[in-house]
Amino acid sequence: MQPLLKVSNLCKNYGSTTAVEDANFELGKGEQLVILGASGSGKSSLLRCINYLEKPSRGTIWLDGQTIGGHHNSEGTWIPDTEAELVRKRRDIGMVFQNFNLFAHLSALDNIAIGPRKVLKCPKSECRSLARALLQKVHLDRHADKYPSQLSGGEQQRVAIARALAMNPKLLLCDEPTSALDPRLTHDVLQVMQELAAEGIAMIVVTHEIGFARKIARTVMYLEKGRIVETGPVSDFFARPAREQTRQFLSYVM
Amino acid sequence: MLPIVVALDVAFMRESLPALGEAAWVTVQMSGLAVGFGLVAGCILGSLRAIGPVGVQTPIQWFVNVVRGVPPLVHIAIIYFALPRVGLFLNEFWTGVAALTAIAAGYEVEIVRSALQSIDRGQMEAALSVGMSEGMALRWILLPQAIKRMLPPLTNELANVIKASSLLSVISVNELTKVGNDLIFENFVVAEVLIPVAALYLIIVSVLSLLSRYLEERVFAVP
Amino acid sequence: MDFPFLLRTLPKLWSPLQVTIAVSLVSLGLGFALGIFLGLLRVAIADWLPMRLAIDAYVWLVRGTPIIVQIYAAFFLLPRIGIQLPLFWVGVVALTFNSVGYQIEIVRAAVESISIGQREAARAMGMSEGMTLRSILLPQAVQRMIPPLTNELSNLVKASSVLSAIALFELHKASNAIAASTYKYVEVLVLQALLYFVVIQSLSWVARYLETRVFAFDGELAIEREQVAMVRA
Repeated sequence: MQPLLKVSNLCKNYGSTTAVEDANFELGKGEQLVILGASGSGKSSLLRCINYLEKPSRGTIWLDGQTIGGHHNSEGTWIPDTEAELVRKRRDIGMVFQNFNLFAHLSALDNIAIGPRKVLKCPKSECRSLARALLQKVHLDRHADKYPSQLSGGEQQRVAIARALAMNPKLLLCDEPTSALDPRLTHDVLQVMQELAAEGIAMIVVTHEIGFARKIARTVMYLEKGRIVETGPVSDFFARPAREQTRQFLSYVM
Repeated sequence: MLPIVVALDVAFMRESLPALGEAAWVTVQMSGLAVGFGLVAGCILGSLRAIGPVGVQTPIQWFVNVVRGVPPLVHIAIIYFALPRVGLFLNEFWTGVAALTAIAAGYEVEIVRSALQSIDRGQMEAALSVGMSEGMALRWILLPQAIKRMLPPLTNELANVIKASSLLSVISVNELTKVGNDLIFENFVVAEVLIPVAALYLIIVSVLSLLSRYLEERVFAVP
Repeated sequence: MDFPFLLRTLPKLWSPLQVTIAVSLVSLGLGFALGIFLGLLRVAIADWLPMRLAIDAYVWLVRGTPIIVQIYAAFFLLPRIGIQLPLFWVGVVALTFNSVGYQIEIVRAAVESISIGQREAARAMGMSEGMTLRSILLPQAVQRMIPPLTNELSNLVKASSVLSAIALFELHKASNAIAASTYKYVEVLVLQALLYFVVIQSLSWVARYLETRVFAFDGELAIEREQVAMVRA
C-alpha cells in the first residue's frame, strides 16, 4: 500500500549550518510518529519543511502520492509549485505550534471557523456548527466566545488543535505542542491528542514527553545534529535503545 | 511680553473668531481627508513593504525616503505646479488635500509596515498552515490585528498633518493660517490674530495627541 | 527637462543652500545649549511642580503649533517688543524656539533611558543627585542623544524652508525666485528637491550609522557583558 507521507533525501541548510541532513522516512495512513531529540537537533526544522513553512534545501516530500513544493515533469526536471498550488497543498497538512499562534483578534470559535470560511468558502452557519463540534471534541464547548488572551495555555493549544482539524487535514504536524505549558495543563492537551490518535488521525509529533510518546506512537524517530540516527517501533526503542547516545538521552528525560 | 497682552484688542478678537473657527474646520477637513487617502496608499505600499517580494520593497523604501527627505513646502510646490502640467486642474481645497496626502503617505507607509512587522511571525505561519495564501493572511489575520496598533500613530500623524496644513497658506488655500495672515495684513494687528490661531492649533493637536495616548493605553492594556 | 538650464542654475543655488544649512546648524547649536539645560532641569527637578509645569507647557506649546505660526510670531512680534534683527537671525530665533521644545524631550529621554541601576549605584557610592547627573548619567546620555540630534538637524533643514514665508533668501525662497523669473518651474523644483534630499538623506544615514555602529554596544549590551564577567569571576 502507498504510504500517506514519504520523505526522501530531505536536507535543510541555513547558510553554512545544516539543520536537517538527508532525512528518509515514511508514514502510513492512520499512523502516528513521534520525533525525539535534544533541542537544536533539527526536529522542528524537519517538521516545518514538510508543509513548506521552511523551504527544504534538497529532497522530496510526497503526501498521498503528490509531491509538495513542486513536481517533476515528464523529462524529470523539477518544476516548483506556484504560490497558489503550494497554498492548496498545504490545506491537507494541519499544524499545531509550540506557541499556539491562535489568531489574537478572533474568538475561539472564529479561530476554528476562519479556515473553512475563508479558504474553503463554506457557508457561515456550516462553519460555525463545524467549529462548535470541534470545540466539543477538544472539551472546550463552554469557551467558544472567549478570546485567546482569556484562555489558559492548555485551552489555547486545544483550540489550536481544533483549528487544524477544521480543515480536515490528511496529516497533523505537532511542533512541541506541550513544551510551552506547565505540567498541570499538559495533561488535557495530551489527552485530546491521544483521542485523535485513537481515531486514526495521522500525526507527526515533536515532543519531549516520553510517556506520551509511548502511549500514542507506533514509531519513534530519534534525531541528532540533523540526522535521523535511530528509528523503530515504540516498544523496541524504549526497551532496547541501540545507541549509547539514545540511552543517555532517554535516561536524561525520563 | 506684558505690553502686548495688556494692549490686546479683545473686541477685534471676538469679531474675528468665527472666521478663524471656520478656517480651522477647513484645516481639519483637509487633514482628515489627506490622512484617509494616505492610509489607502499606506496600506497597499506598507503591506508590500512588509511581506512583498524584495524587488518591490526597495523601490517603496526609496519612495518613503524621498517623501521624508524633502521639506513639506517643496511637496506643496510640486503638487501645486505639477498637477496642472499633467492636466489635472483641482480647486485650492483639493490641491491642498493632494499635497497633504503626498506628505502623509510616506509616513503612513512606515506606520503600516511597522504595525504589520510588530505582529508575531507565528500568526502568518498559522494562517498559512490552515491553507490561507499570503494575501488572505494579510487580509483576514494580519491587517485586522495591525489596525489596532496603527490607530495611535495614525492619530499622531493626523496631528502632524494638521500642523503641516498650515503651509498651504503659501498657495492661498483658505485654511487657518492663511485666514489669520489675511486678518493680520488687512487690519494691521498681530498678537490679536496669532494668539487665537495658535490656540486653535493647540486645541486640535492636543485633543489628537491625548486621543492617541488614550488609544495606545487602551489598545495595549487589553492583551 | 532643460539640462543646460539645470547646470547653469545649480551654482546659483549654492549660496542659498549655505543659508539653509547655516540657519539650521546655528539653531541646532543654540537649541542644544538651551535644550540640555532645560532638559536636565526637567529631570533633576521633577519634584518641583511649578518649574516642571513651566517646561512642560513650553514643550506643549512648541509641539502643538505649526512652525509657520512660530515663524510669523517671531517675525511680527520681535519688532513689537523693540527687537530689530536681520532676517537670518529672526529665522534663528524662530527655529531655536522650535527646536528647544524637541531637544528638551531628546535630552530627557536619553537621561531617563539609562538604567535605574546606574543611578542607584552612584547614590550608593555616596554621590549627590547633581554629581550623579553630571558624572554618571550625562556622559552616557550624551552618546544616546547624538542619533536623535542628527535627526533633529534634518528636521531643522526641512523647517528652514518655511523661512521663505518671511522672505529669507534660503534654498526654497531662492528657487521660487529663479522659477518665477525663468518660468522653469519643473526644473527648479526638481533641483531643489534633489538638494534637500541629498542633505536630509545623508543626515539620516549618518544617524542610522551612529545608532547601529558607533553606539550599538553600549547600554544593555555592556551591562550584560558586565554581568557575564561577574559570573565568570
